[in-house]
Amino acid sequence: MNEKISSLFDSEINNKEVDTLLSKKNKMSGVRSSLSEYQMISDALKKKTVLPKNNLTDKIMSVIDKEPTQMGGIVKANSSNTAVVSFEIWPVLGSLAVLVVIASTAFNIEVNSASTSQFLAKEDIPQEIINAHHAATANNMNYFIQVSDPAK
Amino acid sequence: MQPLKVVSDNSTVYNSSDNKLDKSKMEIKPVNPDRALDQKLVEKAQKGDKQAFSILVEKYQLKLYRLISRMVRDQSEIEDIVQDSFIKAYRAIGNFRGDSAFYTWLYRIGINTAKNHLVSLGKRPKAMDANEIEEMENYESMSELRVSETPETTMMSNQIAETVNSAIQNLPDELREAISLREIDGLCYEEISEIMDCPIGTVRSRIFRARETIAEKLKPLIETTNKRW
Repeated sequence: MNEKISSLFDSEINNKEVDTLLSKKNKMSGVRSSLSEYQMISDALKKKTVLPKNNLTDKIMSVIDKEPTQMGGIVKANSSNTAVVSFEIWPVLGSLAVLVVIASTAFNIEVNSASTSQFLAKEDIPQEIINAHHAATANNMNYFIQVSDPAK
Repeated sequence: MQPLKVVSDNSTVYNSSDNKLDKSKMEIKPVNPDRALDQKLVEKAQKGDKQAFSILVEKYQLKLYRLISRMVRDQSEIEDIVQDSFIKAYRAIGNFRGDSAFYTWLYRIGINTAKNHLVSLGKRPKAMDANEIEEMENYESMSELRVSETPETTMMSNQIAETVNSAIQNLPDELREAISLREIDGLCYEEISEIMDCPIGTVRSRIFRARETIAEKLKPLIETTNKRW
């Protein structure tokens, strides 16, 4: 584990090892502490001004922990730095496609059933009966408006 | 711009039996391993891994601190600016596409945050020309910390340097050589393995053991300074 941290400090670590390190979330504080000590040693050997070990990373991460988790990365660079749509968007597009299919299917069923009933009415019932029915049926709003009896 | 070379993690790319390169398995990667690692950590942070971002914070907080100290003198103000810069970077990480190195992008955020801070205090930030901006963005090579040093920080810094130098002198030869080639000469593990004529795994192990031995000697000093700070 610590050897991996030393390699991480030197950027001489492969992707699998990075994944392994990051998967040990309860040990991340120890990872950061080791990195900080290695930085101090590195600065001293390079004759840079050595800064005291601070808890700035902890302070920054305590603020970031309260931030909403980033789920971005809709676009990311590939090796040729060309922006490509990442895979995160496909589930959303898939859900939308399913919704469109369901909605259009439902709409077609309704349209077809309406046209079928009209067709049957024309076929089976003589026109004169239909006309009589229309004449006898209360039209428009009159049917629904109930005039209150002033006597009551 | 970073130079590119064709590298491979997979030994089957080069087929030694017929001396031919399998181009379908070749991958273009940046030469700079720092940049490759940063890109990996950024991609993880973009997918919601805050621990990956914490590694980037640990890696760059001191460098950003040194950079900001060129513009702002007060230590607590520098810390606030560094903190704000990382929070801004985290909020914007989804928009980082890797066109530039992560540290270049971060340093730009840091410089702008420092400028805004100075403006908010009614101070006029120094106008920088393109060369100066580029110099600050390529800050890696600059070592001096331009923050006002107190006698206490100077003393502490000197004590740490003495302890590290004394510890390195007492290391076994192979550990001392490995850590010196890495830290002082700045060589990569592959180059060190060629010089020391040993496998890369051995180099990795020697550098790690050297660091651990030095860190052990530093521990009492770090604990004292932590109490003092």
